[in-house]
Amino acid sequence: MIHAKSGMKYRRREVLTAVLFLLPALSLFLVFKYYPLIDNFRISLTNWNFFSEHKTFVGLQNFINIFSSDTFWKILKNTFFYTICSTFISVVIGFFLAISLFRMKGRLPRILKTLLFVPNVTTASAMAILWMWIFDPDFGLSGQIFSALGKASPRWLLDSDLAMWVIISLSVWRSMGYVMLIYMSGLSGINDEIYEAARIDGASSTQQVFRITLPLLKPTSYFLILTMFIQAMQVFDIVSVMTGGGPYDSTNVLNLYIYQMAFGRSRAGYAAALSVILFLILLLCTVIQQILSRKKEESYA
Amino acid sequence: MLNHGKFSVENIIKILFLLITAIVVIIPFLWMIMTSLQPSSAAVLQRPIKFPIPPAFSNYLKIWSVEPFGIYGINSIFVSLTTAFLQVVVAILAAYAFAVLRFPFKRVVFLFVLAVLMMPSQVAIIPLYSIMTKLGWLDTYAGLIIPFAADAYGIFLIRQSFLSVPRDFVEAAQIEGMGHGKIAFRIMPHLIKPSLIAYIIMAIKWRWNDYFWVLVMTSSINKRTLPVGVVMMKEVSDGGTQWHLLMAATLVVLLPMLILFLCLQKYFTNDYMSGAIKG
Repeated sequence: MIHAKSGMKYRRREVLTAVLFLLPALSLFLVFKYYPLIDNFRISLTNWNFFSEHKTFVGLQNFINIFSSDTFWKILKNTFFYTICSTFISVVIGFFLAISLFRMKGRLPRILKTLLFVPNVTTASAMAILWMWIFDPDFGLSGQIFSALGKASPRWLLDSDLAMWVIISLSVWRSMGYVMLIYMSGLSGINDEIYEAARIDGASSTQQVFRITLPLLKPTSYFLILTMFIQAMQVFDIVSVMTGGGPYDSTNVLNLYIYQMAFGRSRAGYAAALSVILFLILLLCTVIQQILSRKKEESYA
Repeated sequence: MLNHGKFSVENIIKILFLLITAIVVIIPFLWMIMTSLQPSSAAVLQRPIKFPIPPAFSNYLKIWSVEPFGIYGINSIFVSLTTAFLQVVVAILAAYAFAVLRFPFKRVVFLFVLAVLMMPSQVAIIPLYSIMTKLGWLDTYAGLIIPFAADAYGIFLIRQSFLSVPRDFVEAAQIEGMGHGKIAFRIMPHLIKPSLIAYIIMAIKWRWNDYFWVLVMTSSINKRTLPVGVVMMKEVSDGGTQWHLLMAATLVVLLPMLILFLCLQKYFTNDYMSGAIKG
């Protein structure tokens, strides 16, 4: 952006127009983004319960309570487990889908591309209900398949070892098509001559993928991993619908825990403190993303 | 169909992988449709389950009386379209100011907007809930629409597109005596049509699929949208879930976005967005 030269003056009418044009967006952001965020810090230092007129200041007591609670650490661990697994699996599957589809020509690959993206436009809460019915151990798809094999289906969502994987499977199912699409647009940016040179040098196609494609797609991968990570950290819908965090908090995640504390138990102060923690984690991820994308720009310059 | 037309091991693995993934994508839909056409609850709770012949299409009519799906549907349509409309208007105004107009502290103000991208409403849901209470917006359309009327992502995206419009267009319009308002809403949108449409669709999709905000901010049937309504339908019937009806309802929730996607596919899958996202 070029700074206005010292001699140049802004036109008054233009500035007024700009103020007018920016007013709706800025005032909405102020009321519904900035103020709540700051207010949240304030509430996190109180023991407010939503109902009482005034909020008693308790300092960092909420944070001390949170960090000394086993449930919190369990939930934090779950959140990271869900986030890392669903991000990693989606990115790997999406990447292989992209390189499998990329060089194919004709109608079938185009239909496949469309089909594989369909899960991405589905409503999470509705899909969570469908997933419960698929994994229903009695008469759902799982029950039907296991009974056809003469076995009893695992009770997926009641088993604390399996439930999280059912949730992760839905997350991967919904996001792999998106990953594929982003990788495909990344792939189209790679010059074909590089591959030709590699082929002449005798590189096998597996070598080409790992020595050429992956390194060249590094910026795309950074982008995908971090945006998906940030999104997955905030998972709520599918966990809330499928297990409600159970059994015994084995699938509970940060956002759902905040919701339960705030609206289930009216512990607004405690929930606000949890929100602060979630916000700081997200902020850290964004800062990392910014640093990495700046690096990327520098390497291109 | 294949690059070299040869069926090497590599190509066979690729095709197998694609086909397996495609089947994994399709099966949940088939299972949903198959269940939704079963004639009764008893027909669903059977092993092995039978193929529904004749298919009970009447389930798709029944669900409207089981739960007030009509109200949910109207709410969903109204809320997502109104929000998307407001988002676009607010974003065009702000984006025009950033891309075309000259004013002091532009960079700072733009950072103020960009920083919002890091503030998902979920991390401040407690103060937001108390703001909604104070405004009297709990369980109202205003509470579902206004907080989303400004979208930082949209402002960023439309600003990017506006920047790609040659300045000559704006200057020519000004010479013809057009004001900034007219240029912003009559001229510019035509010049960035594909990315604008892509954004509108994305905005509708976000609001249509939203569950969290609606769950927190509504308490009565009258303001609930489909994503929350369908979950309520499941929870109300706890113990004796009518899976055939529930699956019909689930399909009704999913269908509008699926149709929108299949009709306007190129706006979902083209690169209109990715440039800006990756930037």
